[in-house]
Amino acid sequence: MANKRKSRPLLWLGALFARVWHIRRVVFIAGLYLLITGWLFSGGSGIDVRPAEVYSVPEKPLWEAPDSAHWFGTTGHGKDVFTISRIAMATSLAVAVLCSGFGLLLALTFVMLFAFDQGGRRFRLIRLIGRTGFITPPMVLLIIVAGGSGGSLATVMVALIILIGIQQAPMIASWFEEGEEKFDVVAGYALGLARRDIIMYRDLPKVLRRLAGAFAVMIPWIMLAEMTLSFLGVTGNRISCGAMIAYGQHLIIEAPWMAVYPGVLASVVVMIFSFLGWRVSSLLRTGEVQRYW
Amino acid sequence: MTRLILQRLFFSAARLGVTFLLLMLLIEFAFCGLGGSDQHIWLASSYAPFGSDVEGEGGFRVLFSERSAASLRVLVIALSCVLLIGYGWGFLAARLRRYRIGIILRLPFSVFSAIPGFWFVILIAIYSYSIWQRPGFANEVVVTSGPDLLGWWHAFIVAVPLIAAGSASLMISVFNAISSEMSRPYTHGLFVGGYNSESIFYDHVVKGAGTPLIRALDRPLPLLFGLLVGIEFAFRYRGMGSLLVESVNAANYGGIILSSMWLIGLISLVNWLRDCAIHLQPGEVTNG
Repeated sequence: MANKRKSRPLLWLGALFARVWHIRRVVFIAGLYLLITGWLFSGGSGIDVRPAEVYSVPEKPLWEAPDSAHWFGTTGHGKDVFTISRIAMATSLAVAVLCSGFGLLLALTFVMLFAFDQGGRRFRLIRLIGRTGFITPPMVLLIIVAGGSGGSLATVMVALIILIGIQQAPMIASWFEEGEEKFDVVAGYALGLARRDIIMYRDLPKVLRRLAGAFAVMIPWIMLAEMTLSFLGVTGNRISCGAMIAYGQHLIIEAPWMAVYPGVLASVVVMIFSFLGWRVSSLLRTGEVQRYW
Repeated sequence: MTRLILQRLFFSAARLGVTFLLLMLLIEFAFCGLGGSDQHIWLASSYAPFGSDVEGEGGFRVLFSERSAASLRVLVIALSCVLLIGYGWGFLAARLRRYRIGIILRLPFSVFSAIPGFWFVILIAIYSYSIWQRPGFANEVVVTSGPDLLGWWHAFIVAVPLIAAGSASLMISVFNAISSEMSRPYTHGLFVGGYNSESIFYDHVVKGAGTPLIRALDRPLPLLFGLLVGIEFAFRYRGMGSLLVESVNAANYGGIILSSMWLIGLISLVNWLRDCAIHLQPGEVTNG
């Protein structure tokens, strides 16, 4: 048998395949995320769709019950409920991604202010604030802020980000403390590495990895919270499945599909993101993330 | 023992006081700072009574006592089920960890908790109208004589989404508390020393995980109380949660403070009981 060397493109392809195979689970989950997000946003963001106008009932309603042409039926103006529900879920997802991302970033920034200090009680202030915040249900605070301010989306999002920052900071602080007990960190101290280097290059990468899992887990919870606020009517006249259900419940005798089917889509989308979130957090070994929403 | 109980009571009361002040500040900031209202928190006119449609004929005291009783009824059902399912199934999942049964036990609750609770209660109302041919929402029929079975049925419907979400959350906490105790080196030592797995689990692991297990007691409460507000309002159930939403919509600060502090006070009470239980464990030394 001749000792024939493989060509360079073949070697390159083999190496690429090995790399992709190594991260196959990540690629698979990222693909699923892209697929569902792409599908949700394929109908456009539709931020200017107002549920009060869409769900208003004209003198001669044009609504149709669900059929093969309109899976979720149509509204009184003849608009497709499925398309509107998809736009609503895309909006909820966008709000959830932004709020979870910036909320966790705020929590991390808050923790990093104390992470470089020495001693076991360096996160005491964070824990104290967290414990005082723990006895207040975040939804109560959100309703007060959103209802009192007149329900602008920006206010609700800022309130969500601050609440996530306060609630999740103790969790991130405990990750830093867990990291300090790991062998590589103890070895780093024994080798004489500076504390700054240990925090930045040994603790922080592990925390960031777990933070990605927490982010994935929190997205469906924030989506549910956003929909609840919208259902309660404290986030203004903005399209969301919560608002659609709230308007649709006044028509449950005449056109029950207008309240039922947006909820079906919301449940399915939240469920998919929940399963993906659990998978991501278990792959990244995030550990328990407390649900407050 | 009395000293410890009073000490924890002092901490809980101080925390409650701070929360009350923060709540007042938040109301002022939200309504006057962001909303541009002239009704400041210190003005007596901001605490005007509700209309008769909210208060009914009995006035504010009757409204408060009726609504507290209605919400307590929901919470009694929800909390007892959450503790029973959360601890029971969490223990079972940890005990049978090697078979990875935890995911299967948690799955129904986790799936159900992904469903918006307010939508679920509206579905029940639609089902009542269309299939049972009877009123759907909680405010449509009032029982005036005989046992209030309908009231319990309505409370149960409101409690179902709370039970699903709370059980899923508590189950994970209990499972993690026991699992982390099981992964400690002494369990391996006991196994090598000839102890059987049952004895290791019940005689050592469960005892060792006592403090984290008690700590998990009040974990699902902020979630449950947050859900309660939305679901009560959706089902038109006259409880403290719906009072909060009605007060926010009517910009009635008295109602907002009363309903919020009622919810926060209950969480504080459970939190205090939990703290006492942790500190009164035999041989337990903790920093709170």
